[in-house]
Amino acid sequence: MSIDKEEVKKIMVSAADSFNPEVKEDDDEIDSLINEIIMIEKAHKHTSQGGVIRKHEQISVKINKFLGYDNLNNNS
Amino acid sequence: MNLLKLTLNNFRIFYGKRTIEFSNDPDKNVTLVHAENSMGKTTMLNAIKWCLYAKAPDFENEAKGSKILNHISHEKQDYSCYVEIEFSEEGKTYSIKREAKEVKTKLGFPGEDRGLTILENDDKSGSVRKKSNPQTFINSILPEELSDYFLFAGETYAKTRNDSSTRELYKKAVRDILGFTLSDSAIKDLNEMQRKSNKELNLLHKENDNTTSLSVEISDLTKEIETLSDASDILKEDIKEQKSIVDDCTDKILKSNHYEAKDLQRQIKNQESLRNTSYKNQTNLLTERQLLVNDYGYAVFGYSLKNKMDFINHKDYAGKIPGKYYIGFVDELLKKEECICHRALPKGSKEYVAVESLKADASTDKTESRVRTSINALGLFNGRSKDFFKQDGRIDSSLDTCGEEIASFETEIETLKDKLKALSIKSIDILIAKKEKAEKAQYSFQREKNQKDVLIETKERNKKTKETERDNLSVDTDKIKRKKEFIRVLNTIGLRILDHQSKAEKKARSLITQNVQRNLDDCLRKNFTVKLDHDYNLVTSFTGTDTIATGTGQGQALLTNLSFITALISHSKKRASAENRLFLPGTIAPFVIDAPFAEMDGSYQKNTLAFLPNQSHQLILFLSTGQWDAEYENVIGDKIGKRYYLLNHIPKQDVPEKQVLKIKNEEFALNINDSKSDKFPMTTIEKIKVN
Repeated sequence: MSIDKEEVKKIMVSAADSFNPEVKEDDDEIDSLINEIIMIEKAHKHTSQGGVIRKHEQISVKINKFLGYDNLNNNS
Repeated sequence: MNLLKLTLNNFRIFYGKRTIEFSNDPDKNVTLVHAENSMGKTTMLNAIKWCLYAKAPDFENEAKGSKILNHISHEKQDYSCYVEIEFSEEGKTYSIKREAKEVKTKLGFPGEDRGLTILENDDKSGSVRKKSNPQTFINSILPEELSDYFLFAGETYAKTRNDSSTRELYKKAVRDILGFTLSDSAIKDLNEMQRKSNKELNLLHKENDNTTSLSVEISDLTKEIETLSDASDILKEDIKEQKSIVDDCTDKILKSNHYEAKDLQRQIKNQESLRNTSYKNQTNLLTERQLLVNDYGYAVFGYSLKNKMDFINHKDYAGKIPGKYYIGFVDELLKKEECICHRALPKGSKEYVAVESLKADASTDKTESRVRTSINALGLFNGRSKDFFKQDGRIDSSLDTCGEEIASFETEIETLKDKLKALSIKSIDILIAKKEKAEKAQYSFQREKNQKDVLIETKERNKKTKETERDNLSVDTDKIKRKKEFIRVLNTIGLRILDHQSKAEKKARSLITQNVQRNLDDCLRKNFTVKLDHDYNLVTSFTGTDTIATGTGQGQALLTNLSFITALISHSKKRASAENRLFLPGTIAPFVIDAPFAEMDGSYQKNTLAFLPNQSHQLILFLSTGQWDAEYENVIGDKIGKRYYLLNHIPKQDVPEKQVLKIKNEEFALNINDSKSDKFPMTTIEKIKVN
């Protein structure tokens, strides 16, 4: 069986590189955003259908703020 | 939730207002109610369920009739009855009252909330206010789906959860008890928002010339998927409806007057239950295999890669991969200005430049190290993949066993069904025909649903491909970039919550399983190993084997169920003060049990009595006098905070059979003649002094 060793070289280099987990979200920042979302969920624990839309709006505001967008419409 | 008091007024066998107070002493957390059979123990348990959820299994069919209203009360033209529960929760006291009135022999619920009112008393400020949405409030404290477990009827413990919707509800309820309510709700919201944002993103792409046609296709696919999902949901309901017809026919045959038909149907039901356990086990094994692939998939890929790349052992690759020459070696030649063949390499000469050009393809420390890392990784994959093949082999052989079991149960079921038909009883034949028709419809709906689900999956995949294609072609505007970023964050948060949940759930499952295992080890004579499946059903197998203990007795199944609930309560109790915001503090609920020992033999009973109070938060036991043994006083006596017996008042013309309850050295008569009871017997709740 003939194998292109150059190709194998590339695979090996890429496999070795994939063992370096440097690219990662900042878990602490995400966790603090999650906490804020959970607080919204808590406030809407017994909410009605109409309340779900308001809840989604509130979550959107938090995510936009996290992303540095100044208001709700800026992501759309 | 701590139960404080239960009041029954003109409810079933309880005439007038009858009240029982429950023990709330943490050191004496047991309230014990002794009674003869049919004197109102089950009624008290069902009264709690009726008050909380407006239904109770034992008199569900009579709920619209007049049998809930006490007979004496009816005679005296007092047509209203109620049940009131007082409980405390997070520093507040609540009073839940459900009232019903009989009008023209029909019992109905007055008011908007099916006769339900809840008053909230703030113990600190002394203020009282009426709760709005009372039913939602009750479900947030004790979900209805779990009520049969916390309000446990020993005699009907074997409630099956064979259909997927019941399983989902049960699973959700257990997760609620474990504190996952808010994070589950957040994941649901994030998914909905992601769906909506993806639609909005597609609309933005529509405005973009080079992605317009793909966006239209994606939009069409989204609509088709939504239509198919709606149809699949309708079919799910159809399946549920047909299943309830099948169950209803089975119940009617079981309750018929034909002894042989009843017996055959009972055997069919048993075989079906065993077959379903095997099916469930088969599903669990397939899920386990799926998880195994998730955990080890990369290693299996690595295994194949390692086999294909076996030529890369050190002696073969050295000097070839990653480069023919090592850079240090080339540098050394250049430094010495002498070639390997001892020819001089003066700086700037043609030969010097030729050797120097070798550096471009030479291996470096970094590339050498990468090759070594890769070889090591492949070695690791190889080792891990061996674990995979070992476990996969075990799953394979268990799947074969399941397949054989299912085939054998199916054959037995068919034989029994033929015998039932051969009896030729007209009323039974009608029920069998109805049942078979519903089974066929259920099967056909299921097939249709499966086809729709496969189609949904295919279209989802197609949509995903088109989205990738669209994203590759798209020249992103600012709006598109922002929307994409928004969706990415939604996705990241969802995955992170799932990750937190998965870790917490793994821990909870392990602790609950250990607790149940400990109880079973203490109580049982044989060795069983306990596992919790993905729907939180306990599966017991004989220790050291994968053989599911399907043939174990009902007493053991009851013990396992009781043990699971106490383990759940115990785990929840430990989490009562949990401060992690992602998970709500554990639910604290009382454990109310009617006939806890229904099918248990004596040795199980004693052990069960020992672990129940220790692991429960508040334990209320309704125990028939026949199941009480003086010896139990030593096991549970010092845990009893309040104790009662139910006294049967017999109409004056009837002669009571003497029934006596002996507690230590005292005797309590369990029935008396009562001049007030003209025609009907009634029950009162009598207190026994606790030392």
